[in-house]
Amino acid sequence: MSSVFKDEKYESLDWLSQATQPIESPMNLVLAMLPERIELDYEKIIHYIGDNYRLSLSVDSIMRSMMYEQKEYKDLDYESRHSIIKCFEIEMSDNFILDIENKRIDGTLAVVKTVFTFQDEELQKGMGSKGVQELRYMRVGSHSRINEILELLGDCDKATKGRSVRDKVKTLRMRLNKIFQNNEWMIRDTALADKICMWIKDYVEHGTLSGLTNFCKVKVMTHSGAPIYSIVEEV
Amino acid sequence: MRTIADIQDTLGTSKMVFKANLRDNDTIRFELVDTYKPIVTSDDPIEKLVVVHYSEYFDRDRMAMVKKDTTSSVMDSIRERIRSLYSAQSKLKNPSASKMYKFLYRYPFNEATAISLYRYLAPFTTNDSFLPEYKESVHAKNFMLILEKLKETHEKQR
Repeated sequence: MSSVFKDEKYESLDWLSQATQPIESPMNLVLAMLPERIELDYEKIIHYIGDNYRLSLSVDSIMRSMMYEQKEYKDLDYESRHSIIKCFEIEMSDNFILDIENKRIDGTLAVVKTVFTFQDEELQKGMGSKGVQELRYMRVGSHSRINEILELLGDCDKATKGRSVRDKVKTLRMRLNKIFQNNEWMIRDTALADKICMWIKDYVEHGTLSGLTNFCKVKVMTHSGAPIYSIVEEV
Repeated sequence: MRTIADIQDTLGTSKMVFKANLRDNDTIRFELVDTYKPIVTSDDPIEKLVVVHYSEYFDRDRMAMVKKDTTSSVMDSIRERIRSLYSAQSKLKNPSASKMYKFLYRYPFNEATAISLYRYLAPFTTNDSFLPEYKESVHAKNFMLILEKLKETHEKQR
């Protein structure tokens, strides 16, 4: 294959991964970085405990608090954080007692990881969702540019011929959603799916040619029928 | 005179020892092991009311169990009783439509007046009416006269 359309990430995979074509996602890396077991001592429980009227503790509140406090996870979007939190649950000994009078606990309490990698089915559902959401706020600088993209995506004749910018953007988002959800282009990297949306946005808003070039590269690579993990990006 | 706040000060709070209840493996609710239940120590009807309305909560900022100030809910109970007693004694077909009833609904009873009246009425009444033997008594008549006087004074001041 020409070096212009080289998929370095795919080529670096071992033969088994090339055969099974798992979806790559930065979420798996984030999940791997989180500890398998988080023991909660008295101080931590008091730190994470709920508000005055509902004395409660949840995986959600603990993990959100923990992730918010750490730089690596602070910029995760809501959906990603929610998906990660679902991989944890609480493990508690029977008859656990919280004695605030004497500042001690009786028993053990921990948050444990129950899912260690995201399944492809789940990653496929979220494929490109962050990028498509960003397109919602796209400012269409030129009808001709968005029409070009719609033609390249295919199956968007009505919106291409119409004059409504709102319809064009809506059709663009729906078409991209369909491509990602149905795996039409065999994109196997969630970060790449989001980037496709960003390139489209750059080109439609500002006429950035590198955005168009990168998007067209991906489109060409879809014709090979091979999974796509990465492209050689123009900057 | 023993006020609502004086009575509240005599009440205690629960010890901050909680047992944990795990639900769906993702949420824990902490509940008190022993909940403090105040008891009535005298015949004071106001003390009975304060005990009935007793409420506490865990204040995370102070790390302490705190008694809720229930003065306003105790006062609401007293006012409701006065209105019920008036409705029962008034002999009107629709007492809640009367000027007196509407006045009693809006009148900002001060605490001293309300608890004095409540203490006075307690031996002769149930929650919503005078006891049968006191329905025509001087105490029932006094009650209606007191209400008339309150209304008259209030209207003069306006």
